[in-house]
Amino acid sequence: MNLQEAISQLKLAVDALGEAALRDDKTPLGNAQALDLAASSVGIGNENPDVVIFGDLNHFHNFNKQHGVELGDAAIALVGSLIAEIFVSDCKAQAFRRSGDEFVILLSRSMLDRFISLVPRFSSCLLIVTEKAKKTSVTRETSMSFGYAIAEDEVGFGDLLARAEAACRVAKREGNGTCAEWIEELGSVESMRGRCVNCEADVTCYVPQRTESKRRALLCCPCCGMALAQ
Amino acid sequence: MATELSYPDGIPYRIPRPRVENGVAGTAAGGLLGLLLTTNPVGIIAAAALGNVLANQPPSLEAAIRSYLTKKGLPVIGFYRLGPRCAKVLFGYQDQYWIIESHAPSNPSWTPEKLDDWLYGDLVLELESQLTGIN
Repeated sequence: MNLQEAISQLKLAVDALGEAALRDDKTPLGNAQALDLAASSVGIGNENPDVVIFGDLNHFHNFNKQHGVELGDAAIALVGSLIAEIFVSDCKAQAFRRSGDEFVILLSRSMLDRFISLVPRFSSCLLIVTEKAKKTSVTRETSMSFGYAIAEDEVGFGDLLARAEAACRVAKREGNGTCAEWIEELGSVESMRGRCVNCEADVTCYVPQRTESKRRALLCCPCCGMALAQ
Repeated sequence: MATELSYPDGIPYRIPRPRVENGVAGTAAGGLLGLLLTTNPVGIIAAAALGNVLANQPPSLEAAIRSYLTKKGLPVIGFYRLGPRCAKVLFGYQDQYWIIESHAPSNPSWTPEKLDDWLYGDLVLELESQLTGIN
């Protein structure tokens, strides 16, 4: 191999490394860094995405605690594959795993109806994991709910994502495989952290900023419905 | 390169992690490229692999096993190191997920490098047996 060939191979390697740095390690989707790069194109017009969708696995904390981290990872991989198969292929969406079980999808508004019609497919995702050493094959069910926010002038990507996340909490209350749109009535939201008095999960809740303190005290754990110690 | 004789007495042979010969710079570049293009894309592992190749060291156990599975077209979802003598791999195949696990026998003569070589070979063996069972 001469020097020129070595340089061109190293360039290929650098390109491959750059591409690898944007790919998620558990799913076929982009990672948080890829989302940061894509965020700048949201709401700028033309063919660019103008809907920000947030989704996460329902009761994931409990799922992980009950079945272990391997099954939790398999559940993340499963829904990541389904998002790629259903939304990326069918709705021409861009999809990313932001962290843990949190997924972000960027979509063109013209595909929103199609997206909404496909969401119920996430009401029950069947996970099959076989572990030879333990001679076990387990089947578990997982599900997702989604919230979305439509781009507006003078609303940054971070705020759109916070709106989508708040809408997702609303969708979760409506059930598995549901989808909710952020509307003005949800208002500006802020995150509040608390610990469930029953399962000890650290829970982040999103509440309207003007929520009275006595109503904040009524916040419940999404996993088991018990009160949160704030 | 590790050989059959390199494991402690009484330990069954397992294929060691692949080594990249580093006789000429071009071979190293080729090895690096191959590793980058076939290993599951985790930047940190690729970066570690770069260092290892340049130093003529074997890739880490995780990088080696990810590379092996990726070459077979199997997506690695998770690699779990459960202490020095045990490792677990979660991968996807035929719309399902599978876990293979390896426990190295206890022996006072183990070194970290030999342990990683043995675990690699044992996981490969487990994987092949698992795939045979599935198909």
